[in-house]
Amino acid sequence: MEPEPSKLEVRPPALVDAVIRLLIPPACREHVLGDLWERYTSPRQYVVDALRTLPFVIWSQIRRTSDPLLLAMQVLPAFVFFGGLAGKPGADGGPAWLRAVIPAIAVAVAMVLRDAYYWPKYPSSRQAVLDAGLAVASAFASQGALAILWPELTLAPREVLMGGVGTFLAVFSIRAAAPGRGFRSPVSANGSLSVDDFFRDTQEFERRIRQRNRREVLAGVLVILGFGVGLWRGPNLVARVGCALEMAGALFIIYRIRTRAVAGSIPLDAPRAHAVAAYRRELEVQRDLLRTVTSWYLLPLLPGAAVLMLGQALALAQPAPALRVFVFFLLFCVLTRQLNQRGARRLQDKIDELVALETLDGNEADDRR
Amino acid sequence: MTAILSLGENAYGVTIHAQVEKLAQPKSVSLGAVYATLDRLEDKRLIVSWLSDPTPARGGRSKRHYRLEELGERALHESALTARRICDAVERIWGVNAWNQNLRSWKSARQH
Repeated sequence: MEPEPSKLEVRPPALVDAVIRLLIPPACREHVLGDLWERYTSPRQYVVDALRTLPFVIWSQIRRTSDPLLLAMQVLPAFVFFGGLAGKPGADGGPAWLRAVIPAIAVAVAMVLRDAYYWPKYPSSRQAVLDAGLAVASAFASQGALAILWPELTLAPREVLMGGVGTFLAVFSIRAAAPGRGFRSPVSANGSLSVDDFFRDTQEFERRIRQRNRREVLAGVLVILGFGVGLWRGPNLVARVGCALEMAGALFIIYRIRTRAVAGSIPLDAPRAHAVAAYRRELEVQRDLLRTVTSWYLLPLLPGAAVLMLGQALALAQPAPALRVFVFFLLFCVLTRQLNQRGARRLQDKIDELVALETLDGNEADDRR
Repeated sequence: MTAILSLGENAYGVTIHAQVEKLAQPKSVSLGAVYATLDRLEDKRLIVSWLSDPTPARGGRSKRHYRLEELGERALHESALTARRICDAVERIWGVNAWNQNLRSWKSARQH
């Protein structure tokens, strides 16, 4: 009787295994691939098994990593920058929104898959640049595919270029500011605090606040420069006043960021109780900033936007396009507010855990006495 | 969750899938659907998972083991009680023998 072949000798073909490995999202790659390997009986069975498993695994990962609010904040600007609100009919007489919706969907698909396949613990600016590049590349690819399949739905090269630049900036700024999966408390479920985790968490917190402030100041300067051009070359006096108000709003935001949003240094070499208390105070400052984002970030820009849109409507002698842009601006403000309120709630969770830890430490100190 | 409970220490993708197929007979369940369900249960904190050491039999890859959390045990207990109440209600109307007879005839009808 021949001995049974051992499991080690039965393995999937290397190329097939490598392809399937690439298709499985990294978060579940290790165990899913191991399970498929364990069930392997023949190359055909392996491929069929993998193809039947993949859609579920990818969908499950998408469900876990997608954030509808963040996605909307990336896709809506893409739609606008690709001319979705222009109101001008296309070459075939079809509506502009239909042609803009295709690159916006491409951006959405790319970002959803990007999150499913790569969800960083702590997002970085470099990563956000790559993500924004991917979003723009997918929008361009959608135009390439349309040029072959449905040329009448493609955008003009200038529209594609302008849309690409705008989408890049929007996606970059949203993703650089988005919390990663490392956005969690350093306090473990049983209420203990590892020194390493605490050190890493505070360092990451300070780094993110510094980066965010730099980004916001840079964005504010760009807004001032952009509206400065509008102030000089605006179509009428009303539009110029709108530009001036926007510049004033951006200046106020920069002032608030420079004075109220700066992260203080957390004394990590101090006794633990002092370091935890200092960290909690910094979190409270940032939480309050996020909670009040409407008053110091959104409202200062609102009057200028309203006056500017009025000026544009007067210049074009038709209010519809300007009204559409203004409604979009309001929608974006609402989404920004929601995102910041959610950020404030997450910070509050972290603060609550630190407060519980401080109380626990205080009780232990009392017991020792 | 029943599969995880019955498998104990040996609950991971392949064994859970086999156990689910056994419990769901004659219906067949895909491995992917089991993963998706396990992810959902984990997100709801009903179960907890961890990776074991890699084994050569799996091409040097780890197993993801699963265990019921206290919340999961409670949820499973409630589901089992609900299932029992349903069984009792059906038995009261059909009687135990009639129910078993019905089950046998449905099974043979499905096989034919």
